[in-house]
Amino acid sequence: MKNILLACGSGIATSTAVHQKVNQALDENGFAGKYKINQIKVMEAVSMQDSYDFLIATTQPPQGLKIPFVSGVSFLTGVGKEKAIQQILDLMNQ
Amino acid sequence: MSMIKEMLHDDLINDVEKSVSNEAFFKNASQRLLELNYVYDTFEAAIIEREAAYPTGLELEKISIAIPHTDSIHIKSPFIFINKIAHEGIEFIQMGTDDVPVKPEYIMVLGITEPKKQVGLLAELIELFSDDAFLQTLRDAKSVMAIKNAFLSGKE
Repeated sequence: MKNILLACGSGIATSTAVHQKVNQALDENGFAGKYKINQIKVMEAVSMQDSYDFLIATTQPPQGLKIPFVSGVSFLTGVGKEKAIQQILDLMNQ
Repeated sequence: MSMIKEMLHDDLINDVEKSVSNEAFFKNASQRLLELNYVYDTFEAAIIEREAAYPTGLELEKISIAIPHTDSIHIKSPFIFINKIAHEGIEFIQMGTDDVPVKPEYIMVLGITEPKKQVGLLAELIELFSDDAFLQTLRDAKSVMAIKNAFLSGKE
């Protein structure tokens, strides 16, 4: 089981749109039921990171982040989406 | 019913937004939203601060837009405020960066009050702005009603 943090500035608008797409990508690649996603405000990420495997965010990586970071912006724009999915799948397989 | 249709308002469609800077845009947009009673007077400062910390420019595959938004506590009544940008001076920063410029053709100010209920809004908007037929109709739309119809003719 992988624990994933998913963040944007507010924890509501862009992270919600990205959440659906990340779920879809993970489930299509055989990870259904093998992950939990917690949707948060990015300013909460650093204090929560010890219990999580990696962070996906539509912001820049927050200062003090030690867990791996994946930019989620491509899930909105479509540009570079395959690369982001691959990054996430690699993290799932670690 | 789609969230776009539910949150679209005739008085929040701007067919020619002539602000010459981001500052002017946020000031004008906030003033209109306040006068029409969609937001509280804290909205202007909140949205400027949020945009500076977490930019919302989006260079999509076929068009560049911006989706400025801020916390629900500053919003009275849910809305999408559509602005067709007419001036080169408007420049946003790409989401997830602090230095990649984006010149949006449209700025969609989002007023989200109930995230759980309005969760589909942004996904719907992104899907629309990725659709060739919609973009053609939108770019041909020269009036408030034509812009509104373009959004209403999108997918259910």
